[in-house]
Amino acid sequence: MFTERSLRVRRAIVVVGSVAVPATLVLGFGHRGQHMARNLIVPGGGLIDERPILAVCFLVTATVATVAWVKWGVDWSIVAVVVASTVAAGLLTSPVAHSATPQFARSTHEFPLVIIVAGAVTWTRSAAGRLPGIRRLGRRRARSFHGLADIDRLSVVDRCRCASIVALSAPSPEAELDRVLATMEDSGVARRAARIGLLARGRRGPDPFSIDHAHARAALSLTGRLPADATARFVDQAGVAPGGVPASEPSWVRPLDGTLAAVALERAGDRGVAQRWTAMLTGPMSMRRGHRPACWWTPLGVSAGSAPPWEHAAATAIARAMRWVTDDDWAVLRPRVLGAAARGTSTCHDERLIAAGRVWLAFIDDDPAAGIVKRPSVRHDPIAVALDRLARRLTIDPNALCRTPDVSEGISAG
Amino acid sequence: MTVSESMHRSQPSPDGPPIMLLPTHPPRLGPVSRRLLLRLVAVLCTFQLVAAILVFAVGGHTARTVGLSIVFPGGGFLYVASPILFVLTAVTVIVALVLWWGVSAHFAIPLVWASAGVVAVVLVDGPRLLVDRGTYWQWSIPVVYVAAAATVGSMVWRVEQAYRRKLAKVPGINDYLRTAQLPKRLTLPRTLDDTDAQLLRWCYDFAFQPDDGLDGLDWGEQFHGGTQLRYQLNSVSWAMSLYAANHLPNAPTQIESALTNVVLKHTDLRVWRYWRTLNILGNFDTDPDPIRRDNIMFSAFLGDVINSFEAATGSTRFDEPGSLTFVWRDGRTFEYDHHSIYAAVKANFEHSKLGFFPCEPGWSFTVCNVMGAQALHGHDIAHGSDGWAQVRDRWQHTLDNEYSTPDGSYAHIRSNHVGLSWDTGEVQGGHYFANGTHRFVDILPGHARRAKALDLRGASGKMAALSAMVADDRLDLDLPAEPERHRTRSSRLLPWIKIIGGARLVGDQKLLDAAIRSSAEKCGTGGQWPDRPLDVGAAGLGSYMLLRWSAPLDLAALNMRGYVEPAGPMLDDTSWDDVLVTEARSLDGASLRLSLRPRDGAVHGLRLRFAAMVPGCPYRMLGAGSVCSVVADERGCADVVIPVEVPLDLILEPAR
Repeated sequence: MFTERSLRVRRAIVVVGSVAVPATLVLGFGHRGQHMARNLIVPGGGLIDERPILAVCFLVTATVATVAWVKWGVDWSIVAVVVASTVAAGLLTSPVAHSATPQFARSTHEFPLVIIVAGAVTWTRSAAGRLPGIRRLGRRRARSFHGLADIDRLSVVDRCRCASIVALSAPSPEAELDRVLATMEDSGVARRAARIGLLARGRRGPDPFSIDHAHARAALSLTGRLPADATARFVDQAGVAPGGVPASEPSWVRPLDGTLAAVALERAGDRGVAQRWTAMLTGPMSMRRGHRPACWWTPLGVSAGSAPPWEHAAATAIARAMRWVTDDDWAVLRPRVLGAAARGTSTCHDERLIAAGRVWLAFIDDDPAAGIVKRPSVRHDPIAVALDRLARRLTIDPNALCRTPDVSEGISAG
Repeated sequence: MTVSESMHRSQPSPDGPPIMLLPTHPPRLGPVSRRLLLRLVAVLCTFQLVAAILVFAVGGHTARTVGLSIVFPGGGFLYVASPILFVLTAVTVIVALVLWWGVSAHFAIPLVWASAGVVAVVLVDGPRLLVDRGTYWQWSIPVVYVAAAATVGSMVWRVEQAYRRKLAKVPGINDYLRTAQLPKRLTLPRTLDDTDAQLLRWCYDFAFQPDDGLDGLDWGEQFHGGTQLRYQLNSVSWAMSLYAANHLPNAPTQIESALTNVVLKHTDLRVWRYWRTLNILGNFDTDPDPIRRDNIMFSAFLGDVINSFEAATGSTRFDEPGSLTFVWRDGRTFEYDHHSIYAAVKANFEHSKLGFFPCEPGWSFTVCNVMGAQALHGHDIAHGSDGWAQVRDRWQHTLDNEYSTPDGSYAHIRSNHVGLSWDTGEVQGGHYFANGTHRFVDILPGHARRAKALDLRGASGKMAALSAMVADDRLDLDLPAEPERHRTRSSRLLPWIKIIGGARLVGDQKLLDAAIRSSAEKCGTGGQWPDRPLDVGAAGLGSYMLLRWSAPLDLAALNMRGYVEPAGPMLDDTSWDDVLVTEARSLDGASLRLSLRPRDGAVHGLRLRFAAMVPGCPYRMLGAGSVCSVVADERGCADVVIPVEVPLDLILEPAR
């Protein structure tokens, strides 16, 4: 695990570099350098005057690269686009400064417009999802799930999370267990890991789970599907991982995946994981203004975004079951959970939040909230159903996750 | 002198106190309504004065356009030669009128009116459709004034004509009231049949579905359309309360649990979230709390539902603080209970200038305020409070002076802002003699008697004709299906509900029994949960169950009585999921009449645990051709195990 000091040094280097490189470009390469520096801020920004089509291409590529970076950890792609656009600006930009023509002014006004339009498109997409017709379609899809029977309709990441939670909520009925195990053995899980490994880090090899992929390795471990040597590697890597647990995708540590991985690691014999993950939950991934971060980027140790309420609730509820966090999160989660309970289970996020709230209520003495949260029927979303099972288990035995599981107990016996 | 003070009383009728006569010189409007209306007239006159100055004194195209736009909505469009826009404005005003009533958009008509004026002014120098630019229709000035005068005149004429028509009836009505005989309420307990069992089973299935389930109800808009979930839940709750009180007083366990679930369903966000929209549009208030302000159509009805629940079961569950917690979609909670709902209703009554407080913001309905009065009265009976006594005089003053019309009927709706009433189409003619589930019986008995007498004038002849058609305890009529209030479907049971209600009104037991029996035979669907056993919507089904199960106690009698602990042995426990207990009551305080039906198949060894027996006393159970004996233990309990393969009617009675 990296120390805070080393991360601070890295951040300082990045900050200095962020100032020094543009300054060098501007001061050392004149007008051409100014254009190159613009690409460090917005890829393609330095080409908008002279090569607008190329600028747009870089902008689109940068957007795709950003998605690839955030979603699959393909961090080199964004660097590549920035470097390429900067070099292109250096090669293609006239060394002589432009005259202040009206055309120049118009172009500079158009570029921010692109940003605004892009933002508007994002907002419109989000708002459209709330429109009655479209919202109804989304709800219809959510209602079409039939609990754990539809676990294979989830994305690979959610499938893994679901399998982990089912494992924690054991014992499960035999048929259901088979389905969950089957979904972990499905080639899709390994295929995704292999593709991301290749794309993000150029990894090839027989074991796609050799590094990172916390969600998948946690699920395989908790369901008893991770071989002994892979388990040992899982534990070893966690000990030196920046976040105290392996990342979900290269360089990204996410709260729920991290928590599930930490539980799996502790069950696999990692004595230090509790301390490391507690340090993360109380440090870099602690609550700020009522939210925990959506992810933590390992190279610089910076947190980003806000975790969706359900993920926040689920991760901290499981952490609470492991006694890694205190009850502080409940104060901010309570109104969100109650709101979800009032809205009902028509969206998977609400259903998961309700179920995660029930897990929390296994530890919190809050009868008014319990009376409200118990009313909705959690039966559609597989993760929600798994969390609901876990809640029931923890209500009966709040210490169920803290103990080393009995070999005869449910799914971990495999 | 107010109408209340000027009321006469007829000679005592043979079977009760005298029926109140109608006032012979009732005012057209009550003092509050008159003040509100005068305020409206003053505002309109001021605007008309301004308009006249603009049109006739200032002159000029712009001033005339503005002036005519003030005189009549869209009047300026006629002046600027835009007749299509004038027609469009008229249509929009009608839409705005509907929105004003429908969703309390009080700003809708002024907004349309003002917007039309602004657009007309913009068009003064603008292009014209079909006519040349710069065309002004001077002839529109008298036309607009005539249109305005005709509109106001027709409104006044309609109101005045209705007033005079009703006033002319007063002497005749009073003659009738002096001699009217009121039939006694039908209190003979019915022998329950298969349909009652099907209906009870449907109620249980409805109540015991998952907590967030509202299956079995009709879905649709939640403002006025007849698909409001709240009223459907109300009617099921009331019907089950009656069943609990009339047929299961000595086996309350299951029905009390079911009723609790149904009452709790009122807190479901889908039932009450409409209020936020209304509160924003009508009060410019973003508070989603459904109880605190206005919304008597929810608070009072729920209060009355809890009154009935407590009177039927004796449970004080909803007296506990926070027992009814409403949670908004952002997690805000509004914690209420029977007492705080009562307090909110009372406070709203006290703060209302009109005396009645609104359902939708700005609109006070008589029926909902009757329910509000019932909510207070029922709480007073149950808990010894005196809220109704505190508001009664003012409430009655409002009813008699603001809402009454010369013929004894009451306006269905009145605006708290402008004092206007009109026929919304929800009830025939926009007026009724009585409404609410108790029809004034508990809150204003004198009014109830007069209303009943007035209702009888129209119903007696029709019911007598129908009664003459009863043969073999049946009413062999093939009645056509009628559209439900929400108009999305028609139901064959609806006309039967009217006949059953009419039979109860006129006190015709023979017609009542025949109509109940024939309605079940002709409208039965054979359906089981979630289908309904009868061809009717959920609201209609609730009304039907209410009427079927209204003896010996109806809702008014139940709430006036309050909870009375049952005498005699109690069925304390059994396998409730295997058997349907359709009747458990003691007629003499010593024995127990018990009716059981297997739910999903024969039950070979059903254990019945009885309590409240005389300790040490031997009892025998009779029924199905066999007798079994038990002795109550020292706690007054005994267990009996019997097979239930077919419907059984049993009697548990002391053996000596």
